[in-house]
Amino acid sequence: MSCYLQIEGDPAKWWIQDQVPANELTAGQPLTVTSLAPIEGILVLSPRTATVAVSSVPAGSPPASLAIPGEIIYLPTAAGPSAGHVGYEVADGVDAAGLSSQIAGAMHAGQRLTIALASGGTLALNGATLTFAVLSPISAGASPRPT
Amino acid sequence: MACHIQIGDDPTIWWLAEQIQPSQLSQPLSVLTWYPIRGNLVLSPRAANVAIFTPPPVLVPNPLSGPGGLYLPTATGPSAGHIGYQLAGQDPAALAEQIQALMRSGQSQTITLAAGGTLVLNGATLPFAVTGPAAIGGSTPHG
Repeated sequence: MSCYLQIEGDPAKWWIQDQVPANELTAGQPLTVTSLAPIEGILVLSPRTATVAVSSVPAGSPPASLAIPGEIIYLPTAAGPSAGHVGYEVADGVDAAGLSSQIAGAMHAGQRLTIALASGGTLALNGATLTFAVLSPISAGASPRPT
Repeated sequence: MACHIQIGDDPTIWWLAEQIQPSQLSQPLSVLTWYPIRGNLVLSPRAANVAIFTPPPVLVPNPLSGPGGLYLPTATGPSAGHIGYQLAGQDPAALAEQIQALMRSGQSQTITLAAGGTLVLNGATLPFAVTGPAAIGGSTPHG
């Protein structure tokens, strides 16, 4: 059985690898799951998110994931991700699994986190208000860490 | 040095007149914006994410024109003829200061619109606002 999440105002259907028990969504802790589509990566969900819809699809399978230009972080948008618009490219050497743990920590503590971007810019995240983030790609052998 | 920023889920890339640092984002911040609306951008510390870029040294495009006065976040960003709510004569600079105070206190305020309506702003949740346009001139050196 496949499953997808729809999170607040972002229209994307986030197909995830494992079923999410409802009690994990209301436990008051950030949740880290493996996303299969539209971006294959690690999805970190804030416990402060206003709405999350979990849908099970008995006979369905995830659509193909979007091509990723490098190491990226996708943050909620009103349009969702699309080909060529999959988020911000982070600076070389940023590990998706490690960064997902940092983001989950920032969400848990309601703290700020800055991330260096490949363009030379900076991304400032507010863990108190960010609803979710998706990091890609997952490096070989890495898996989401329980949070 | 100027910079570009992108805020939350509004797709607009704002051309600011000055460089801002992530460390400044813990308080409400008011900065001059050149494009796509020329005015004052008031940024809340509650914004979920802010991307800050350093642009190449290029001329700023002409800002959008049209009836406006207060732009609030949208899913599509501003466009020609759609640059926000038209105000009922309020001074844009004074309004920017009021919004900054609202963001600091987390309180709400009503604003009278030119069309006769009323706009309610919640300083506790509004991620940003742009008041303007300020005085319109030509293209401005950037970077």
